[in-house]
Amino acid sequence: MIYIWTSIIDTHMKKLSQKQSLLFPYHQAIKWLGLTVLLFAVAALAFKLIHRQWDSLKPVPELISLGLVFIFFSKEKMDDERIHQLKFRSLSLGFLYSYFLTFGFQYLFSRAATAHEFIATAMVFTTAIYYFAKSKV
Amino acid sequence: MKNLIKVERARNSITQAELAEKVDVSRQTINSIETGRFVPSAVLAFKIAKALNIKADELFELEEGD
Repeated sequence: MIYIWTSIIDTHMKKLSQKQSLLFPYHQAIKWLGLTVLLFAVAALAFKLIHRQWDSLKPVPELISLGLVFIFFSKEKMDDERIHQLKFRSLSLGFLYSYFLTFGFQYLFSRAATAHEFIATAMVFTTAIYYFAKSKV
Repeated sequence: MKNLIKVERARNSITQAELAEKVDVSRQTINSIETGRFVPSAVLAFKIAKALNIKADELFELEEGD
């Protein structure tokens, strides 16, 4: 089983190294789907906060992380090596910041963040860092 | 890494956008390379040199600490 998985990953990595345009898998249009999901999540969060439904905020991090994953991992109009480098750096910083934030949250409130909360936080940092770095030309 | 892209562009009378189109990257990427904020891969460096009709090692030069 492990051999099958490693051979699949190996084949995919070979394809990636041959063609860099395969690095970010989603079509450009998926960004709009991500934006729609993200807006839905923000609207749901606002609705629940207005109606003081604190106990049922659970789907919000799931939707935020899904929306941001679609936005971040979609191809850009010009998907060149500078964009790939910026995305990689943003990911490495975003996940590190998220780790420290969720660690601090756990220490202060004695509640561990769920996997989706961690991913949502990481993707918020990652996407923000990426678009900030991209705009600094 | 230092480079002479700006000089060679002027010599060939081409804009950043035109060079970017020739080597299939964005204009912002060419600008980042020119200003030294981004170091291109060997493949891209050779493509840029070819588009500017110059050898890659004449276009790009290592600095101390590289």
